Amino acid sequence: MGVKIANDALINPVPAVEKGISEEEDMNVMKYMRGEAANLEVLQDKKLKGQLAVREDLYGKSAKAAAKAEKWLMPSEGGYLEAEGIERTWNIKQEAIAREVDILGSRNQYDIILPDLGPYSLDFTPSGRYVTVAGRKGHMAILDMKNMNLIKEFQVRETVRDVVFLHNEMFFAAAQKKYTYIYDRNGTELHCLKEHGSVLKLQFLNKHFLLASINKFGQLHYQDVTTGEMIGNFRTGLGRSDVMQVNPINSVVAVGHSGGAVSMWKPTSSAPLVKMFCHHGPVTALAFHSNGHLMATAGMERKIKLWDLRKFEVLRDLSGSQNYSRYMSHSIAKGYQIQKLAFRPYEDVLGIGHSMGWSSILIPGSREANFDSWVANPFETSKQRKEREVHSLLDKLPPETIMLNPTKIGSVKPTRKKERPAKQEIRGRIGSKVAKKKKEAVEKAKKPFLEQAAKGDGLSKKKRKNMEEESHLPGSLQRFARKRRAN
Amino acid sequence: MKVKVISRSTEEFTRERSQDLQRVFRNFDPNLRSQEKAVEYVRALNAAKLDKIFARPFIGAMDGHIDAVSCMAKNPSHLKGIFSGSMDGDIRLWDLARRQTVCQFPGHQGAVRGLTVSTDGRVLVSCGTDSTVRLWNVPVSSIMESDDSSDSSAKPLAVHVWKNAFWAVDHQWDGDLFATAGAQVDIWDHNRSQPVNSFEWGKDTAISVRFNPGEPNLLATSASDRSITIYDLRLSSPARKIIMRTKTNSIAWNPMEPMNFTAANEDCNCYSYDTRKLDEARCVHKDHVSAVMDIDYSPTGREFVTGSYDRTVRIFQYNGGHSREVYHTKRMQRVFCVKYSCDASYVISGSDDTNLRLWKAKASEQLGVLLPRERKKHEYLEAVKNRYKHLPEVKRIVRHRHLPKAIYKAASLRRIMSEAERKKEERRRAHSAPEASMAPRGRIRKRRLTRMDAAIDAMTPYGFSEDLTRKIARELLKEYGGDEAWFFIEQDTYEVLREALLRDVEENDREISAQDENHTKNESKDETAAGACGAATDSPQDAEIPDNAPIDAVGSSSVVHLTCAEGVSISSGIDSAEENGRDWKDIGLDQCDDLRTGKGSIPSPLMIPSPIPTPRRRGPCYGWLESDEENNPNDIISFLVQVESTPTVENFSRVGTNSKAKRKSRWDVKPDDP
Repeated sequence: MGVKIANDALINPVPAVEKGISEEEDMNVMKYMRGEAANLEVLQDKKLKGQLAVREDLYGKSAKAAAKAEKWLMPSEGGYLEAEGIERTWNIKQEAIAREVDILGSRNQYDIILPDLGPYSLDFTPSGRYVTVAGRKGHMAILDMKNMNLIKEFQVRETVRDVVFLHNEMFFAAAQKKYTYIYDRNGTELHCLKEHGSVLKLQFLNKHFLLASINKFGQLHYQDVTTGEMIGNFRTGLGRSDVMQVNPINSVVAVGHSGGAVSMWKPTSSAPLVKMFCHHGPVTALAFHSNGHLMATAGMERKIKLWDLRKFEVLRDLSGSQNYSRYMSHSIAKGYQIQKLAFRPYEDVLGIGHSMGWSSILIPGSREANFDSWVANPFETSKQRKEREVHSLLDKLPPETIMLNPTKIGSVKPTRKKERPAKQEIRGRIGSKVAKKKKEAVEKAKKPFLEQAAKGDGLSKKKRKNMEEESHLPGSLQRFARKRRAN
Repeated sequence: MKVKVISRSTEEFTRERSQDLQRVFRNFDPNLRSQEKAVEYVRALNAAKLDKIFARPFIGAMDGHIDAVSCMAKNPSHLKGIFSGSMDGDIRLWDLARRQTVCQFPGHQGAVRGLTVSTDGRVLVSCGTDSTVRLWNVPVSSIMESDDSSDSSAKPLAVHVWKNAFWAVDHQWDGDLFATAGAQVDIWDHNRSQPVNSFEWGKDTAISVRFNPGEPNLLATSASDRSITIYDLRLSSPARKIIMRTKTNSIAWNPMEPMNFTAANEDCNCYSYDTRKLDEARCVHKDHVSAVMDIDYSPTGREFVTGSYDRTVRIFQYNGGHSREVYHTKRMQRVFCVKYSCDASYVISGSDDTNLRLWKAKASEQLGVLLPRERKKHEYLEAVKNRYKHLPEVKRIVRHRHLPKAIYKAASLRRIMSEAERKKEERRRAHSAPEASMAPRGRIRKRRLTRMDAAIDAMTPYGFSEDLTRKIARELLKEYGGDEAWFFIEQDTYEVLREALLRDVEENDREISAQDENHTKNESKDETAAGACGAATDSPQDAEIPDNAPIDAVGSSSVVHLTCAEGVSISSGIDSAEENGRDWKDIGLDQCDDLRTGKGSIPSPLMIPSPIPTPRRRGPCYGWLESDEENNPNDIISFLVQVESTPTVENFSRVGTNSKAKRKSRWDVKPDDP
């Protein structure tokens, strides 16, 4: 067999280019493998081993097929921005980009000037097709971004702090002055959620149909929007906060607090899953990478930190502008107060809600280029939308499935090898008071001798004296003790 | 500056005409689908629940008989035809699709007990308690297709009257023969009015018979003396027999693994056996709470259906200890016969309440033609359910079955009883001395089917111990280089291994005899005085072999056996058997032998009878596979010829071929033995 392989290699040696390609493919296969294969060598059960080997083989095949599909069947490629010569990417202005890109791309670059109804917040649907905007002073609108149609625009004449789409563009929730309301796309008020209180920030968990909110008093609420049931109501205990973000991978809600801490929550426990101290000042913003491992936080002390959530440690500390590798920058006219930033899914577009309306700028390469029709389809017809609604309701996840590591579901709990003490040992430990007393008596008798031995441990008199001195000093001063003596 | 941004034109991503299908784009990136496992788990849970909702296994009942349905037969060449016979002598052919009687076969005077159809589907054979076997022409399919519901009746092709009532009949899978079970097992030909062959083993009535689907000449029967017997038509005598604790009501061969069969027993269990290893059941299928009356395998061989006296029909996996499905209705009484349909998707049961009932084999399966997308969805849900079947919630929903109160209570009672039995056994074990011989604790080691085991099996009749054989075989393998050497070792019925063993034994003996040469003379004298047959055993071989060598017991006692009077040999045989029998509870071939000869003792595993037929014992036949019987007699004769001239080596071969090998029994040990 070995000879045969050698012959094959002699007959048609793989060209270097192809080798490179195959390596690249391997990389892609790794992406689809979703982690490492199970270690089957440790298994004793031959039958189980065989079954698992077959399954692993199947996983490998499907990963390969997916990698091939990615290579050949993806319709569009991602955006990019490359600087040439002395120019730097962060110096490139939006106007320059607009000149270079095609007409469809440049259409995504615009400013909507609405000076009266004050800083706007906005939210995109998961497919990126629809956007809802809400001005602080009560102006709300839904737009279809495909043809820039205004679907509905209305005034609530009340403070609106945040707005968020529910599972599709038919419904959205707005955090208003006193209560949170749910509207449909015609602007009809459907529900008034009084239990949430005066909410500062809203988030919607797509897979679980949960509306998460944090109110003025730092209370976190989870409400199931299909049944109306209040799933969780927790006091964060860390004060007022308007920084909240959902981790897209595990649906854990992260809240940034004014003390510089970031806490992560799930709806089934009243204590935070994680409480990490991130900044020495209030946390002003939070964002997650789409793979869920990276979190970026911004603090009032002018620092941006990048965290690795698998280890909970800082990946890069971006303070000031020293080692700050900017990708792009965009200057907004002075005096504009920015309320909200949101990347549009499946487009290279960043939406900025500010006090003079909202603007949309181009950030090449910011988002995934290829959508999946079964996950989120920007070209969805109404029939498809209805079908997807039914399917997503059938697949609605129970709130218990929110956990830090979502791959733990269905896996085997590792057996904890607890060394149980032998029966005699237990008996010896607990029982027989006599034995215990005896032991104590022996120790008591030994004690003076032991102390003596510890004292006179072959050290010189002087050294012993020094040691005694050092031990007399409080801990914080001990480092000075030797120095002073030297002086 | 090079720049590109994502730009999608609507035309590219939507359909051109409204008649086109919507365009679908895929991206399998794991980051787009978060919480995949949770989603799959929820889908599995929903699939399990939906399965429960859609579980409607009962399709319909077919009434028409005016007495209990006693037997059924599938028509192998016609999917929707099934024959049923009832206790009043009525035989009907049913159209399963229309659930109507197509044809009736009047003629039997008493109950019809057996029905079978020839493989080509042309001839129906029926037998009953009126001691007749009737052959019928199966109406051609044109009648079956016709819509007139008027019951046409057929005339028998032939009627054979015989001496005794019949209990069962089965047709050969390939050929013209069929077998009936009654006072004896009779083999009939289509063209003869009398059986061409008859088998009998014991005096009890055979109650079921089934031909092997793979080997047309093989058939298994069960009898009311609790035995299951396997017959080979090419041999004049029965091949094998096992005795169960209780009666076996029916037997079914696995059509895909024709060496395996499953027996439906009175003790509420079904037992799967491998014909090659009849000493233990491969699997015990428990769940029924009353006698299992009938059993039938699915054509796929992966499942079988059983009908029971407890008024339920259950479906088992071929290797599953518990049932996959249980079917019952309020009106269904005790089930006497069940059949799996030829396309493995339906189950038919016939019961005491004169009805045939048609069930789906998979309770929640969607009937009718499935669209490809529907089928894919079903497959996906099945896979997901299978993947998460171990999680408690899914498991609970999938496992749950509603049972009638009586059966539920009986099942829990049975559980309590078996648990009590187990506890009692455990306590007895805990309070008995460690050397007290009890059944081995826990599960018996699975009989392995390696070549080493085959070699050990082949060497045991010659009286070599298992350990010794294993040791020598390993040495030989090492010497000849790995597993390839088995071919060499296995040649000429383990010629090489046998010789090596004998050499080893000889060497051992020489060493030992050199060691206590002084003792031997005295001891041999003692032995002659003490032993029952000492005078006859004063042979040179015996003098050479001292008693304390482990293999010697075999040697010496067998010599005794050879040369002694017959009565003595029997007594010693029984004694050793009793001693061994304590840790040998298995009921095997040998016991059947003994039962036949009337001794009634449980023999040792070493007592597999020799290939040479002794006058008192019937020579056993080890299956239908070919054996090299031509070689053996010559070998034996040559050994026998050399017996007197040469010492030990031939002695052992003679021992092996001619008599029972025995362990050292109490009689063989002298009181002053160390």
